[in-house]
Amino acid sequence: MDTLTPQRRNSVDGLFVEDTQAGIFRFSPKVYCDPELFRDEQKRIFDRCWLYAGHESELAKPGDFLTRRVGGRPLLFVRGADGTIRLFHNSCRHRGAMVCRERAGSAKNFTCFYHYWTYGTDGALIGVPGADSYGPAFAQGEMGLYPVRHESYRGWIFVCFSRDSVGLIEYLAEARDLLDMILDQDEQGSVILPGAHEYSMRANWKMLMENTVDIYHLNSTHSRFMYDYLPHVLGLKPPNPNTANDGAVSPKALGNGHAMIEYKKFSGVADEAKRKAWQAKFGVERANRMLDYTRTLLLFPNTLFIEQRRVIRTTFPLAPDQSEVTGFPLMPAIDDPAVRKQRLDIYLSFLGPAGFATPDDNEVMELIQKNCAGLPDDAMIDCSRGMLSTAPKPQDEAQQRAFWRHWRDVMGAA
Amino acid sequence: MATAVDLAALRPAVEDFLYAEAELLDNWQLEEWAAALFTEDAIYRAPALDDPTRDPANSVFLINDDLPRIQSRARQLLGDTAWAENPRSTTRRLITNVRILSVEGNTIRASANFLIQRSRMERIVTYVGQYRYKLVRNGASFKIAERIVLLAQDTLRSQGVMSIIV
Repeated sequence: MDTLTPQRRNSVDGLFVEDTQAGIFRFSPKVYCDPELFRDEQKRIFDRCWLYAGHESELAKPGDFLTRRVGGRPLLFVRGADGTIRLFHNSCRHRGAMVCRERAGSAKNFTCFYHYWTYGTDGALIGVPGADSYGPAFAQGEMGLYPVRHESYRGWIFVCFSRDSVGLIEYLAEARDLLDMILDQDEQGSVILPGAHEYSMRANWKMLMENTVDIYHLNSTHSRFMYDYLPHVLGLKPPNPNTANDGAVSPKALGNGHAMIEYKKFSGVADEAKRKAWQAKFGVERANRMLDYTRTLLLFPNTLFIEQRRVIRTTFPLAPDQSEVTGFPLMPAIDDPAVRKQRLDIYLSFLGPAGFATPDDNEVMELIQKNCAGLPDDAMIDCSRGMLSTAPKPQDEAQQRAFWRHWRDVMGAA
Repeated sequence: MATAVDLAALRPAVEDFLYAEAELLDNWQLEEWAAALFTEDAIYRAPALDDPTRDPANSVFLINDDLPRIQSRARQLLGDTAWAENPRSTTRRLITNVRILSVEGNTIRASANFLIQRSRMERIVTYVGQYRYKLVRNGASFKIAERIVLLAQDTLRSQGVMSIIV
């Protein structure tokens, strides 16, 4: 555990103005551009929190593997001959070269091309050319790939690069119940489909966390989606922003910085047989929430699930003003082809580098970033919307405040 | 069955068509592009970068437009609320390596390489790849039945987004 001086605590607190009586929540734009805060985030957040890394469905059969950078670290995911999924640092125990350079595939073993050291799908070092040149202390049996701490929840694989952090279930806190509410809808499980969107933004990663749970911007930033695509391609009436989400549960902080917003489904009527069955299975109130409303879940620090569009979205910072974004399509494992087509259309019309919404989100976040470093020293970003309301709406900013309060705690903790 | 000579003879007309299309796009004449160039059942697709052979019914593409979506995309970009393209990018498209792949009746399959430079707000990005067209004869010219964009890039991390018609 690193320790911080009281000055450090004050310096992070000094970035925020919070007055619950007056209903004011503001923070310095330095949170988006300060290089010292950026370095600190790596240690305090990305090296300590549980991070979404992948989905068990991406490794369907023994021998299936994939490589992916998570939290800045190249990882190798493999389903072993025993069916167990293991995660390793994708780095040879000899000189450290990347062992597997394919994005995904199926393999019996992995050979580092530098000197042909070979590892099994369980990570064990099974081949060393000229092994007789090493002494007895070399201990080949202990020279397997470095394992990565990981846990799965209902198919979602999370990693944690700290041995001291709490377990995944404790970390998820109340977000676990929301994940259940989302994943219970896929009665035969869910799968990641191929074709993840991998793009980037010249903006701080935290803006994407705020933007993805921001309902307030839909009618302005996404005007072209709401007022061209919805009516003219789908024949849908754009929802009235003032009343669209009446009846939805208020945005909620779910502990540990996680948060959710709930809003009314745009379209589609649940069939009554399904409603009856789900009411019996999940209770009337919960089943109706599942069928009539849809949620966006923010998992601190960097993972989002937009239930309506069925995207698991992650962002990883490369620099204060440069972030990678990846969107993984999570669909029901078993789907009627017509429904699947509709889901893919809902996904693609809005999301991705060529979607009708994502480029405009990128644009606004990049515009914020361009301003951050040049504003007056005491400039503030406002995040006060709905703060005096006892029942904030999704178009308020309670969900963003939940994220920021936890960020402030983690970054300022002793 | 068309001979190699027949295919080569067709190339200048196809080249002219593709160059004219590129000019409409570079000139932001998107209404003309969307209204005049496509068949009623046209598709405009950009498959995922890692595997262009997948079925769009069971995987996610970058673009998977039918004609109503093509026309909506053009309208959106011409409107003033496609913020990512307001102000608009300046683009110039180089269309090269045009090849006629096959001719069957009125249907012509052709490929072409492209390099698009997009410049906007002090940033320059490029998109490189190959088009696969299915063209249908329309008098002396053609209509597009399929416009498939195969980007020759392993991610869009360096471009950020693809806010223009590629």
